Amino acid sequence: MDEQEKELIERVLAGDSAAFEPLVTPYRGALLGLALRIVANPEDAREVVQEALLKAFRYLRSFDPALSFRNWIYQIAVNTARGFRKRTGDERRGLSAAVSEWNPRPDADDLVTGHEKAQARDRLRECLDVLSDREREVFWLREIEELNVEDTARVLRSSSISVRVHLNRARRKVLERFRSKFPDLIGDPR
Amino acid sequence: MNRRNRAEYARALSTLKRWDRESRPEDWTAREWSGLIAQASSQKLAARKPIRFSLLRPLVSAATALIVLVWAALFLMKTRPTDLAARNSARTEDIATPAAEDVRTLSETVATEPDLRAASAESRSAAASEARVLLASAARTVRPVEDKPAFTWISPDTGLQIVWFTNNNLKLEDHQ
Repeated sequence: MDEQEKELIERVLAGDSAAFEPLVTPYRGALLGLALRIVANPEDAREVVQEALLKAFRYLRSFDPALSFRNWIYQIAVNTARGFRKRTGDERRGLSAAVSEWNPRPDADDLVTGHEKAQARDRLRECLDVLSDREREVFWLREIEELNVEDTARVLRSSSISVRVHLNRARRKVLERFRSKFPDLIGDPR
Repeated sequence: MNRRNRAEYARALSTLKRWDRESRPEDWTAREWSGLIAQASSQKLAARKPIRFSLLRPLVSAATALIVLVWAALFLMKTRPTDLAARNSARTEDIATPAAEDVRTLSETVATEPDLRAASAESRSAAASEARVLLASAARTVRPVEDKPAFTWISPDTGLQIVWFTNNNLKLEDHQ
């Protein structure tokens, strides 16, 4: 953990709640992306991040400064998202995804950009849908957020071996999906 | 993964990252974010939890496993056959060793007492006939008797086992 984060945490614990914003702001995009991969709906993902931030502040005293703050807050987000997914259930998830597809979040950008965005989202979903929940979590943290295997295991409260196994499986599945759906995107460009 | 697969996977991953960047949902506006942070930081900080149960759970499991192992080890030590043999040999040692002058071999005894020679031959033939009777009886009765009441006695000292059961005439017989 870097010194700046350590100092910010100490300030929050000493009663300076304004120090919380610079502490968590660098992770807001990553937290949202992570939550979105678990709950599959942008609105739900925002709600998850909001809940995770509330928990992070409330339980900041139980954070061990010898560990990484990033891993800790990711862990909270993952647990919150899993709890959310469990609470709301597959039915609601499916419904939300359908609504989201039908009426994508208002893109104020022009229609072309909105279309490209929706297409990218659909393609991404198509590739990640072949993964199990666990594989998707491991894949996202390791490959997109670029955490190392040990940190991924810590965030998911799992073993490094389990992370490696899920990661290999996820890589194979993603590659297979690309070969079957988007062969032109992974072919040798020469 | 071989080299070709690795290259393909690298291209797939970079495409996925690009799609992720392009499709990230609307983030919070600065005002929304500040409101969110203000809401979070308006709470009271929770006190540090002394020990989390998740940390205690492996300890409790380990202690339980240890207790079960110790109990099993004690049970095995108490009942293992070598223990019985040790106890029997200890009993044998308890018998007083006779003085050297009192010890005579059988042939010495027979030589000094000629009457015993005839007695010895007699007893050998009696023992042989008794054994024949016992063997014949065992051959008759050792067959498994499923529908006849039987009970077994095992000597704790010598391990001798005697089974009493009723024969076909409902008379009590024994088998050693």
